[in-house]
Amino acid sequence: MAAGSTSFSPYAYAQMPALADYKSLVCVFLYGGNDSWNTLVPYSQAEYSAYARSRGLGETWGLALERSQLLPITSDAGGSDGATYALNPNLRALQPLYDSGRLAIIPSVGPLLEPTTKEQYVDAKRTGHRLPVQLFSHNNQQDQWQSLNDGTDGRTGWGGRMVDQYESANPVGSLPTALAVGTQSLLITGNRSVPLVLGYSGEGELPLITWGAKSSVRGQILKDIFTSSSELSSIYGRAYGGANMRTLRYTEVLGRTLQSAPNIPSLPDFLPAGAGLKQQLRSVAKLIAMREQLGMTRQLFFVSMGGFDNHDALMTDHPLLLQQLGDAMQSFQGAMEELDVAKSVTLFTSSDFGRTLTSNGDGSDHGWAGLQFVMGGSVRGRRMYGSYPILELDSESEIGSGIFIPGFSADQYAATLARWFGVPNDLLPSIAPNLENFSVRNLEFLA
Amino acid sequence: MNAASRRINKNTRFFCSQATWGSRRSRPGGQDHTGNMPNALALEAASAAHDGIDDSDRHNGDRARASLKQCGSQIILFFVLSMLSALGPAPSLAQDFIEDVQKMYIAYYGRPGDPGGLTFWSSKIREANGDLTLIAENFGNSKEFTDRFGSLSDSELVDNIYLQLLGRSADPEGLNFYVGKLQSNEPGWSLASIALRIIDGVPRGSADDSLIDNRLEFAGTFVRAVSDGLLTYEGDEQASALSSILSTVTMDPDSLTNAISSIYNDGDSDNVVDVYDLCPSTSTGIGVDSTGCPAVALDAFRFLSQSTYGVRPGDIDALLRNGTGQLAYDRWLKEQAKLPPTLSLKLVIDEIRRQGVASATAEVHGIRTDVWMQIAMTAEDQLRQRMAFALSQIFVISDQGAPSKYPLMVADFYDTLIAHALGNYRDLFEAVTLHPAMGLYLSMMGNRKSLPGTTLRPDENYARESMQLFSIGLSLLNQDGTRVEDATGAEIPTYGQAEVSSFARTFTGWNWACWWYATEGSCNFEEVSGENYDGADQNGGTSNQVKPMAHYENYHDSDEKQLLTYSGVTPIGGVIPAGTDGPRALGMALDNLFYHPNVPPFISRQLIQRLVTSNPSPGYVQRVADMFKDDGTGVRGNLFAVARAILLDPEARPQPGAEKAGKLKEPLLKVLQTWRAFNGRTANGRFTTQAFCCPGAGDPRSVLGQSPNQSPSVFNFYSPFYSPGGEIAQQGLVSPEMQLALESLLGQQLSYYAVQSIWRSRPNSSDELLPDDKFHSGAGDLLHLDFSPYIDMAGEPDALMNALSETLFGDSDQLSPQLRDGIRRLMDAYGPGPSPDADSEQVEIWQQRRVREAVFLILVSPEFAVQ
Repeated sequence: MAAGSTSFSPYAYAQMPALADYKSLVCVFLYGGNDSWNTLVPYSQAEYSAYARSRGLGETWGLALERSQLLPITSDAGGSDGATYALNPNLRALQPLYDSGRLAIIPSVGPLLEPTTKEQYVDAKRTGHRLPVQLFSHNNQQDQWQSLNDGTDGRTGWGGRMVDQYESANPVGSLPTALAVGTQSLLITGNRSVPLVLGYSGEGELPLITWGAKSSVRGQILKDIFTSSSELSSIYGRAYGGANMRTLRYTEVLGRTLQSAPNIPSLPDFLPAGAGLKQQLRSVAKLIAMREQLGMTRQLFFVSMGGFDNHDALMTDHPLLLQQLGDAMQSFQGAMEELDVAKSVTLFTSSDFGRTLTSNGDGSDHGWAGLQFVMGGSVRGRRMYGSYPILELDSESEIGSGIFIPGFSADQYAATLARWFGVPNDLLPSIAPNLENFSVRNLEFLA
Repeated sequence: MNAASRRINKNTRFFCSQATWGSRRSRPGGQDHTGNMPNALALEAASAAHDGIDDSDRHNGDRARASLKQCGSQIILFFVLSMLSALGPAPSLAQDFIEDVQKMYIAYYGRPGDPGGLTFWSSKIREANGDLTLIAENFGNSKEFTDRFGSLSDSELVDNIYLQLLGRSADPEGLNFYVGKLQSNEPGWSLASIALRIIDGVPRGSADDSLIDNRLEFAGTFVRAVSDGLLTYEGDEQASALSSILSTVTMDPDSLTNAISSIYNDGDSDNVVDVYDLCPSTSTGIGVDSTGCPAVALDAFRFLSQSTYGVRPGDIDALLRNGTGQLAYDRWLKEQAKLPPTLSLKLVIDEIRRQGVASATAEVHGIRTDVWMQIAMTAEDQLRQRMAFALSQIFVISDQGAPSKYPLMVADFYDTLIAHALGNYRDLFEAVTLHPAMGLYLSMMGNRKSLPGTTLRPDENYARESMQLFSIGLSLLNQDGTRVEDATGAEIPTYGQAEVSSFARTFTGWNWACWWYATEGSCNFEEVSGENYDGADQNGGTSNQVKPMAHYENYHDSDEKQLLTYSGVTPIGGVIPAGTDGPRALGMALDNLFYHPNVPPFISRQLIQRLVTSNPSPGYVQRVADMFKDDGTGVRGNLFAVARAILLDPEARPQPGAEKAGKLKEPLLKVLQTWRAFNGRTANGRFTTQAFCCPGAGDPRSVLGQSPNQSPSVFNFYSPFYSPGGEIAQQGLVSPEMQLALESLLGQQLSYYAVQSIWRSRPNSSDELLPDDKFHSGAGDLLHLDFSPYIDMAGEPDALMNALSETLFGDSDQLSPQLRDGIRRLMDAYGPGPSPDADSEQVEIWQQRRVREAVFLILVSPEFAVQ
């Protein structure tokens, strides 16, 4: 094999016949570990009281939100027995989406290799019960969420392995199936799929190598140099050349596409460029708008927000993050509806982990179970999937410091998304390898 | 403790010698002024081991060198027999006689001459117009001779000269003749003059001659090592030891290499040098370059690329002024360590005042990074600065987090890294832990003990990240950096939630230092806050932004804490006893981490990755970790010793074409290397991030994804374990910097390098064809690269490419054929040149375009992306 060839021809493999329908998944990753307990708060009195006690309502060090400030939501089904829940006051943008059935909530999900009880967790070392390695560590749990392996060899992401199956879904010479904005992403990196990473500017800027009388000669020579980098002796040189080759290959089509994409009222062109989630989602929306021109039938996007590691100043910083998240999600859903593609696009969140229920004085620390949102026209919304734990120390799934064992595994969550994307049941284990350890294979939050 | 105090000893290392001779080609601007100076010793010394190089090269004495390759090892020893420099300021004409004096030492004393003696006696011979017999008498009268040989009979004395010089006893005929002369008391016959005659009687090319050559080689190596400060000559006591080593040198080349290595590897544990092979000359795998010359400059270039922010014109010559290879590098490292640290805070404050901005604004972060650029470009203490930058990517804070409100605090934090960069890791760890920037960033600042009856408990942030990222890492490591595995092959976590909780409790009670106007200790934990720097400073105090955090005992959890346990754990049992006060507990906790066996391999591997290679071998990690554990004087955590071990390791001098050697350059360092290589200049003399004006937003982060203290999280710009898809992952390798090789950023960098090299005008140019400062408003900060040394080569692509390759890689032959082909084609696109009657402006435009296009292609090439 010519060294580096995999980098250059990730789309040469045909796996599945061309697909007529269009589907797109958009991951919004909340880096740092979102504080779930203040994202969706118990609202019925008994459950709220437990929350308020555990989070020190009224104390200088407390983390509890005032009940009167909360935004109650109603569930058609799901949730704890008779309990009701409410969104953080800064998630006002999500309330109508939930109420109108376009948003679903999975309150307690996280990495699990097999179903795990508190007793099994405590005795794991002795019994050999399998737990994700390096729980509570940011990068390991980010990798675990994104790779869904046992955490020891996370070289590919579940989304990447998924789109490895869809190389024929999009024309050769178009854009890759998997695209990220701003950062590299394990989630959408596959064995063959190499994601394209867009800049934050979203302008589709062409490198300035195209200037001057000799621009075409220069451009061709650069392509030749980067292509021939596969012959270099250094493995780093080959990888770097390959990345530059992709840059040259895709920036042109990307630039052309983004510049000719229509203005989308909910994510308007006049919004200044930036690294904000809304701007990232605008780039995604524009590429979705141009799907037919590009000939795409399947796409996987990865966007992200940082700042959720709220050890400090949680009560001031976290609401602002949620505000940005909610506004951006609302705008994106609006954009999908304006493009009349809402049924074909599903947005979902992921995050390192949920956080501790207890306060460290000014914030919360690394936990395990966390809440995720799923949004889109195919979502069976206005529902919570799985139970919301009773927020008390020493409660059923609490393992200390207010850390909770997830009710669902990230594998179940991902498999549900992948199934909707079109992955047949028999291929799900390659995407969610721990799925077979769980009796429920589909969480049913997508139609 | 330095190398000078080592003693000579035997060892068991064996080398074979396969010497190569050659002369370094002229470098741009470096004429050979000494080429006509015969250096008989240098040539003769290695002649036993040389082959096949023509005489004109051999007589280029100053540049002649030989290499010795270690048998069965990738280590190759380079020798530059540069007696002129090795002997310092001796009168140059006396050089003619050094070899003769050296022979006299060997024959008469049976040891190498010491540098002082060689210089002295060769001067005397010079004064005697070359007549050695005139000085022989005095040469022979010494206390050393009396002490060592005074008890011998005349016949034994003569026989001893044969043994020392020729390695064999005298033949009876010769012995009788010389003993007779010695006892005759005839004028002109002394033992020394007899030695001279024996020397003169050896036929050129004979077996005896070869043996003498080897002994001269050994002697010359010793002299250079003494001159280089690596060994000392300690007088008589050492003389007999040296003499016995010399006596082992025969005409067999192995005996020579064996003897040489024995003077450097003495098993003396009291010496930091012993841990790795500090060779008497460069240990390099680079071998010979395309012209058959040892690639001394390439080797040196790589060394400086690893240890500085980039190689400037003249840096290689300066480094090699007094020798080559490991000896030269080591001397450079030691000189660097002595340079005073260049700190940033004062420069930032000066700049704030000059610009008249407030100290707490976002623009001050820009000033801070500007000052960082300035220091990187101009400071002399490059090793320290490069280490500090590496450490800033381990002990990460970022102005993208909580310290964003305090730019001066961030500058002061970086100064803490600079100050300790070549000091001790333990001191650095404590300084970092107590710095308010870290306190804010990882929320140890304001961390307090739990309140009985409530759910409040200490903050785990610093406890967790200081273990995971700053000291021991997540899983148990062998000393070579590989993971310890349990019976099932699984990793073994170094700590669990219980330990995190214990450290979190230990790190309670710390908060801002007291306000500048308040009495120390009078501040309240729950009220104290960060001070505006301007106010505190102007009122004669110093802001608590730049003071270590203070301890507030009432908020400290002083119950017993169980920390990590391991063999030889400190404190005893890993336990902090109840009642221990906060500062003492903190020290014990840091010791508990510092002495954990994971720290040496964990920190060493990351520093190797920042300086030298992404994928160090286990052996490399082990060698550096060993130095971390003990620098040879019993000190653990000596960061200078660690840096030195990293930079002088054989694996830092890789074979050409080694697939996994080296690393992708950090994007910011690649830019700095470019600026320094082409003598970057600005009109106002400042080096700032404004140099990035085009086409990005004036912010290295937006173009490169990297900027000092601006990473997106405590996990730095990239993970030390990051592996991109494709063959790197398939081979189980990592390439942290590839995490920044995003298409979006690479596109920006193509633009940046195009603007910087192709489009940016010459200073003061009004040439409209070069689009001038089209993007830029603050032209004074605009950085220009100096291409003037290359302009004359615009018509000769091969000469130009060779010269640019030398400038950017340290060797003329480092561009791939594909890259050369591309450069040639792009240069050709500008045609063969203006007609003979074209005006000089037209000619210059043509020259500039061709040169700049060539530079651009190299700067963005995969070759230049790799260090």
